[in-house]
Amino acid sequence: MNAARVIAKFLKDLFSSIRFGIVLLLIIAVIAIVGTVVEQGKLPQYYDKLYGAEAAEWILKLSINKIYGSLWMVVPTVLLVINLIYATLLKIPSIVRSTAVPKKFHINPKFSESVSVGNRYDAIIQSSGILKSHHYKIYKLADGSLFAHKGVLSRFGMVVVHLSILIILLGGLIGALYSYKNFVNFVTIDAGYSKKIPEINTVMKLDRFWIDYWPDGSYKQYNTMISFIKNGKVVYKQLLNHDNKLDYGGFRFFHEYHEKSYDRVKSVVLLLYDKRTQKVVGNSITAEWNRWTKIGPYSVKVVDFVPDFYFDKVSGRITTKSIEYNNPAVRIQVKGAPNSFDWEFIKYPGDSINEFKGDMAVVAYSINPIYFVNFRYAYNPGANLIWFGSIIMIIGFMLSFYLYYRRIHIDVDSDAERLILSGNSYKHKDSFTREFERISKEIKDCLREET
Amino acid sequence: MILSLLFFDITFGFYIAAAISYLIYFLFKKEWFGYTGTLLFFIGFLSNVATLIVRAIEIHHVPFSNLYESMVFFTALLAAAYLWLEFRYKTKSVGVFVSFLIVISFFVTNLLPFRYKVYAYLNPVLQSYWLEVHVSTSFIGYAAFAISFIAALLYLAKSKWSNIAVFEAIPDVSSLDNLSYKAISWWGLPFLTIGIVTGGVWANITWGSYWSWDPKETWSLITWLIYAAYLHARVARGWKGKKAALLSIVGFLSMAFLYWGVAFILPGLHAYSETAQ
Repeated sequence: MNAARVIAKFLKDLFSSIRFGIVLLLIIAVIAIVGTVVEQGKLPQYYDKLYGAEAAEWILKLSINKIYGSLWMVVPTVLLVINLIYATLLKIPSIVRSTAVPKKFHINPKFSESVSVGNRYDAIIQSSGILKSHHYKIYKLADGSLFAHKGVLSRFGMVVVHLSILIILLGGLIGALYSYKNFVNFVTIDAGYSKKIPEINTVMKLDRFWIDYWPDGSYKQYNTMISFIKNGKVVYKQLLNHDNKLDYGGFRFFHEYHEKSYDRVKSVVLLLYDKRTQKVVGNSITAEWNRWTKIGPYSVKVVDFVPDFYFDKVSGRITTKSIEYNNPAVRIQVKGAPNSFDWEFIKYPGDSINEFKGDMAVVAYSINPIYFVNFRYAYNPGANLIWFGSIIMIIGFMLSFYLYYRRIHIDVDSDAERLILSGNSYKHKDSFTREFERISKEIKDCLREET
Repeated sequence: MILSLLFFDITFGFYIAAAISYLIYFLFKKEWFGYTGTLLFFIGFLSNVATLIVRAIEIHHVPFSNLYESMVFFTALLAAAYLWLEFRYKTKSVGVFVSFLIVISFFVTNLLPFRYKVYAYLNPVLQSYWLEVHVSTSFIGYAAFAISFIAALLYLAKSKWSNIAVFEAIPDVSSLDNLSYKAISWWGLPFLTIGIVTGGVWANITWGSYWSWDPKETWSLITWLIYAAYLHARVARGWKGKKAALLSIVGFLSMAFLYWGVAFILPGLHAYSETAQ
C-alpha cells in the first residue's frame, strides 16, 4: 500500500470516527473556557498589567486575546464540520436501508415471544389489526409474514440535528463575512439634530429623545422619535424604543447607549420663592442654558453646571467629584444684582450657596440634561439561516429523543402451530418491553378467543 | 414586610423538615419517615410554587428576573421533577439527596444580600416576553441536569459501596444510569438548546447581535458541548456506567458555573442579572 493510500485511509477512518467528533467537541469546549478566563479584545497594556510582560507577550503572540476568531477555534471547528458531514453521510444509507426495506429480523431479536395458533392466515390477520391499533405501519412480506414498524422519522433525528449544526455554522460564517454595522451619534442640545447615513444616502434626524422612569427612579424605557429625510422631505418617521423596533433601508437601528453631558444642561426649571411669606410665587419657568429668562421681578441665566458638586477648600473652586449625576447643581446669575450668583442643588430644592441677597429666592427644581445618544445600525444576512438551523435542530432533538423507532416481525414457524413475534427498539427499551408485552398479550388473548 | 420572603422562609422550613425525614428513612429504613418526607416535600413544593406566585403578584411580572427569583424557580422545577420520579419509580431513597440539594440551594439563596431579595422594576431590556421563554426553558434544562447529576453520583456511590446497607434502598445501578441519561436526553439538552436559541433571538432583538461571546453565552455553549459529547459517547460509543456518570457530573459542574460562577466571577452582558437584571 503506498503512502497516499495509507494517508487516505487514515483520514477516512479519522473523519468517520465518532470518537474523533467527541474529542473535537471537548477541545472546542476547552478553548471556549480559555476565552472566558482571558478577557478578549483588550489592549496589550491590559494584559501586561494583569499577567505581567512575559505572559502578556505570549497571550498576544498566540492570539489568546482574540481566541474565538483565531486558528485555535477555527481549526477544530472546521475539523468538526468535516467529521459531521462525513460521519452523517456514512450513516444515512444504513438508516435508509433499515427503515425503508421491510424485512425479517428475527435472527437475534431483542424481544421475542411465541404463541400457539391454529390457522396461520387468521393469526396473521388478527395480529395485523392489533399492531395497527398500536399505530404500527404494516407490511406483508412475500413469505406471508408481517413486518410492522413505527417512529421511522426518529432514525433520522441525528441526521437532522447534524444538518442543523451545519446550517447554523453556515449562517455564522455568512454573518462573519457579510454582516455590517455602523454607528451614528446625536447630541440633544439642538432640536432636530441630523446626521447623514451614507450607506442609504438618507438623513437621519433625531426629533426627540426622552427617558421614562419607574417610580423608584430606575430606567423604564429609552424613547427616540426619529425621522428619515430624503431630498429635504421626511420619508419615514417612527418612535424607537424597546417595544418598537426600527427597520429602515435594509438596516435595523438600535439604541446603543446614551450619556448625560457633564459640563452643561439643556435647561433648568426654576421657581420663585418669597422668603418673607415662605411661599412659591407664580408658576415655574424653564430657563435655557446661558440665556436670559424672566422670572418674577428678575432676569436669570443658567451659567454653570456640575453633576457631582464638590467645593475644593484648597483652591476655593467649585468642581465635580465625578461625571455621575450624584449631586447635580446649577449656577444661576441674577441680572443687575451685585454678587448675583447662586449655586442651586437639584436634589435638595431650596438648599443653595446663596450669594444673592434679595427678598426672593430663585430655586432650581429640576434640570433637562443634554444627552449624547448613540445608535447602531446593522444587518446580518446570516441571522435568518441561524434561526432556520435552530428550528431544525429542535425538530431534530424531538425526533431523536421523543420518537422511537420500533419494529415487530410476526411469522408462523415451520410446523405452522406457533406464531413467532420478534421485536426491536433502537431506544428506550424499557418502555418497548412494556409495549411488546402488551401486544403479545393482546394477540394471545385474541387467538385464544378464536380457538 | 415582603410577603414572598415569608413564603420563602416557610418553604425553606418544609424542605429542611423533608430532608431530615428522608434522611432518617434512608438511614434507618423507617417507612413512616419516608411517607412523612414525601408529604413534607410535597407541601414544600406547593409553598415553593406559592412563593413564586406571590412574588409575581408583588412585582407584576414573571418571578425570574434576578438571581434570587431564579433560584426559587429552579428549586420548584427540581422539586417537581423529583416528585414525578418518586411517583413514577416508587422510590423514596433518592429524596434525601434531592431535598438536601434543594436545602443547599435555599441556604445559598438566603445568603444573598438583601438587595437581591427586594423587588426592583425591570429595565427596558428585560421588559420582554423573551425573558419568560428564555429563562423558563433554560431552567427546565438546569433542573434536568441536576437530576442527572444526582443519579450519576448515586450510581458511583452504589457501584462502589453496594455492600453497605444504607445503599440497598437506592434503585439499582442500571436504573440510575438510565435515569441519568434520560434526564439529559429528554429534558436537559433539548431545553438547554431552546434556552440558548431563545437567548440568541432575544439578544438579536435587543442588541442586534445573536451571539457576542459574552461569558454567559460562552458557558452555555461549553455546557451544551459537554452534554453533546455525553450523548454521542453514550449512544454511538456505548458509554454507560462509570464513564457516563463522570461526564454527567462534569456537565453539571459546567452548568453550575454557567449559573452561579458567571454571575459572580466573569464580567459580561449578563452581569446585570445580579440585581434587577
